[in-house]
Amino acid sequence: MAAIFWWSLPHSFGSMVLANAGQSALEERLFKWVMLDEDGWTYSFFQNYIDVTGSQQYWDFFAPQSPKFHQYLSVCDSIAAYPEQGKIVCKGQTLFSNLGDDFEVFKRFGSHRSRLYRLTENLANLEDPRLLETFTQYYRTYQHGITEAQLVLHQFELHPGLKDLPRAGYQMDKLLWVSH
Amino acid sequence: MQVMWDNFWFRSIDARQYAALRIAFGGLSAVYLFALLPYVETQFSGSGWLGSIQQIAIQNGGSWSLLFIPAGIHAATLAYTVVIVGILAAFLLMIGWQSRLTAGMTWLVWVSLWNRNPLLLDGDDAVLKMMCFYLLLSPCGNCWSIDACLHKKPPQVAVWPLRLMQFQIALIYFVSGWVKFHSPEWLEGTIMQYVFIHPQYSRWDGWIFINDPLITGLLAGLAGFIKWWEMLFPFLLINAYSRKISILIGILFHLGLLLTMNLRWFPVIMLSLYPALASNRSFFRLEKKLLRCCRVS
Repeated sequence: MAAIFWWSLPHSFGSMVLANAGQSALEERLFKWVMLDEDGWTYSFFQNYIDVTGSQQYWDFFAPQSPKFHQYLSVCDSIAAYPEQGKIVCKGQTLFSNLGDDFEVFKRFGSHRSRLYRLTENLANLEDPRLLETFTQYYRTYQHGITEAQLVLHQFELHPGLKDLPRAGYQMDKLLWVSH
Repeated sequence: MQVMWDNFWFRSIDARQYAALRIAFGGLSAVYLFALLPYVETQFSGSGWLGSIQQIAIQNGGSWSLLFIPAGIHAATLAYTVVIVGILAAFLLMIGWQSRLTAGMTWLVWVSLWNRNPLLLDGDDAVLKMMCFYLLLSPCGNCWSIDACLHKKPPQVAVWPLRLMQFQIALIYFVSGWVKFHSPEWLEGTIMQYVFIHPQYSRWDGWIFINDPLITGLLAGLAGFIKWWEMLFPFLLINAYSRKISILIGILFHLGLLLTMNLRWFPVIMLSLYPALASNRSFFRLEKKLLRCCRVS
């Protein structure tokens, strides 16, 4: 119980403590106390317990689900950008994409794409060069003769108060990675 | 003090409570692992996009996975084998055949998947993984199982694995509530507006009602209530009266999520945790009622 409590708090709030923003003095002291000294016996014991028992308390530590946005990924062999619309599209082959075009239709019984949606949230949030390169490279190697592949993040920002915007939200795509 | 401690951790309880949890989490794990089959090769196998990368697991305190075993050209076969074994083990856990062994095998598969590619997984999968670990520790096959039919098992068992489950549930709500106090959308009370117009999460077209000031006010109030209820959840469990109210709020909350949001089976998984918070006697009464219904029909 102590180990999972120890693991939960720093992983939920660790970034906040490091940024030193948004927490009270009491919280800050509590986190610093709970995080323990990395050279200590207790730290090592808790870490090993968590590892062996697979007790990592993953809730949304990789990417907190922000309902302000919805986002999708595409891997393209070449792209075309439309900055005035905030849009980037695949010009040639689409090597991978989980971008749909039916945002106006709300799905009563869920989407079979929810796993890839979660993957998108995590990859976009982590922005880890090694992961982005590996992901793009994987889809690039499926096609022969492609010298370069681009990983595009299609991001839509929702504004419930602004009725003039498209219901899908304000589009602001960005190029996440280029694999040579 | 010693008596209280012993009573809290080591008194005997009716094994039916563990059986209810075993059936729920065995069944849900089987369904979830089955639904992961289309992603096995690309997301979890050594021939998938992650290749031999293990850094995500290591960064998060996990060093092992059956899917880290080097299998060369048979990497996809290994991954499929692991997941199919997980589906079978979870099904056998549900029906209660070699319950602890199958709980252990299901847990092993869940941890292997988590350490291999946590980027695809979410809170619902995390609850399944952890509950399989607690079921492995508990005498969950002593009632309502094939194990109990084949071999006589004591119907009274130790309470401590149930206490660990209860602590886990309380921690889930407490941390979820606390995190909400650091989210601008939760603090402003606008979170529900975003959720109801979110194409991925909402089941219904929220644009129809989110601009009504009365409804937005109600949704903001509801958001404030939920974050306080979640953070106070462990404390509300202490008193019998507040526990009943808190459980009722939880049931309504998760039914609300089920009706309004696309979160796969997350609300069902969370509701399946509630038998761990219910009165131990209620499972005996439930069995009696079910038997009476069967006789009548």
